[in-house]
Amino acid sequence: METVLEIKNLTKRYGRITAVNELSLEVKRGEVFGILGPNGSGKTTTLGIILDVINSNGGGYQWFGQPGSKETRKRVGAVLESPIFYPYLTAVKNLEIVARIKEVPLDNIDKVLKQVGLYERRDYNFKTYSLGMKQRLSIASALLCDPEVMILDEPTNGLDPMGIAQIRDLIKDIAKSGKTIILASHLLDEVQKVCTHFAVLNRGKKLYQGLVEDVGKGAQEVEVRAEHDGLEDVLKAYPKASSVKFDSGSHIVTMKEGGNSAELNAYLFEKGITASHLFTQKRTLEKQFLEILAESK
Amino acid sequence: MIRLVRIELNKLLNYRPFKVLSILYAFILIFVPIIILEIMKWLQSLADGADFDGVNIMKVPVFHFPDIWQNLSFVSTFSEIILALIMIMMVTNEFSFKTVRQNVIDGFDRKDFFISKVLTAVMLSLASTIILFLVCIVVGLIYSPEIDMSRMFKYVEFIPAYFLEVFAYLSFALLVGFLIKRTAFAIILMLFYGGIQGVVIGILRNILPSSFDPVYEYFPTRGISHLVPFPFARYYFQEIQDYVSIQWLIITIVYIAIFLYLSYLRLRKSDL
Repeated sequence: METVLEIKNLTKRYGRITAVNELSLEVKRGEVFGILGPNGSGKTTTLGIILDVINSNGGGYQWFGQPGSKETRKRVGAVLESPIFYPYLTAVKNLEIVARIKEVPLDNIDKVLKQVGLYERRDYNFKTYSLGMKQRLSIASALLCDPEVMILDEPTNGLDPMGIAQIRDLIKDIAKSGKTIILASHLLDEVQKVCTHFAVLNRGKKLYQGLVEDVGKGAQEVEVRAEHDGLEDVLKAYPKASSVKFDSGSHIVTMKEGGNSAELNAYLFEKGITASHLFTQKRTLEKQFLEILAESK
Repeated sequence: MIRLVRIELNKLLNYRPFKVLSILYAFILIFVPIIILEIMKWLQSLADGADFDGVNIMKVPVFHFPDIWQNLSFVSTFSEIILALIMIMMVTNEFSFKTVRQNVIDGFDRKDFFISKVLTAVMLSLASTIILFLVCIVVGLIYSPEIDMSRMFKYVEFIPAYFLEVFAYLSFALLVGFLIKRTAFAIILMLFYGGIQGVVIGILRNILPSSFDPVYEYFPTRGISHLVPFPFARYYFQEIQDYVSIQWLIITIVYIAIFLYLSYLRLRKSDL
């Protein structure tokens, strides 16, 4: 697969604080790449550098195998932080400016406005828009040049649940059309739902990089509840259990390779215990993320 | 280039404060002759109907060709502060709206952004020069007792000089905008700059020997104001500079280069 973006040893210091620290990343064509990290972990700074609005202190980056320039930026659609437009201009006038900067035909404007559902409000001033509409307009603006890569930074920030769902569907649609998407977010659920790949940043460093589909893999954990005094001992004696802990009313059994809840149930039944609650915990990105962050300390 | 002009026009022409201020400015330019007339009437009334040293002020040929070129150019430069405020607003807005950042993200480089603002300064200077030229023609035709085509355009060189002076002043405004970035602070600095500079010069005059006096004329904004020098002294029989001096022309151009270079340097080095 062709490498779309390559970041090498990128560093940015603000006084004594190192916002981005020797960061290296690679994004390939067609990936939906999530950049995760707590607030202040250097996500937006990194994106700012690769879009040339922030000067780095060291390291470099390449877009499409060439050094970043205004020509490479014209092939990228990007929105950093909150939607930025001229408040006194209408959606159409704002997008005209973007289209002229990107040197794409003005005919694209109506198309992208329809795509994000703002066509009816196209002649209203940007400042009259609700936050959700502003976010959608910024996605429209990023789509304007039919970009090879889209960069979205916290696209659902501050939206209500309906707005979040709309933006998420929009991102999924765009991903389906084969575009590469780089999505920075601190909402893990969001990344898990739309991304194929992800990296975790903290204090400007990359802690982890992997596939989202691998997140669910690994040892299973099964939650067990039953009206039985010796339950803990029985569970500990189970040959396929690697550990047992008690947490908020349930016993949590971490299984060895190959163990699962059905076999555990059969085992308990054999011992004369009827489980009242048996639940296989899905390993979520959230859990993995917290683990990665905890390990880094 | 045309692309940058179009982008700037889109930003300018749909911005209400720009429309209000530029229409106000155009009106002031057009009414400059009337303002001059009123001042003359006032001076006349001071003299209580009598002649001023034997001169009837109302009969002074202020609006006659070819004097009118320098006279109106000189008076018109007083209103350039309004243009400077417009210029500052159009620069600092980009920073307060953060649109400069989005422009770069979308595919400008800093040079494109910078050039587009210089083009705004050129457009504003050009527009006011054209208005001034038309006002001179119309008022000159009305007031000149006879039109002598060979002498009519004798001092017309003050029109391009006016253009350069306004452009230099707007380059200064551009620099203030790029340096300060906050609209209110930049406007305050621009309004008080002349006063602050005057105070500094006053202090220097006290400290330094008087042989330094000519140096003060080279200070920013003062240096560029000599392109169109004070013309009215000729009406009380004094020698005036009725041509565009090469020395001040060069100094103005050097100042333009400095103002623009520093603005660009500032933009290039800053995180947006």
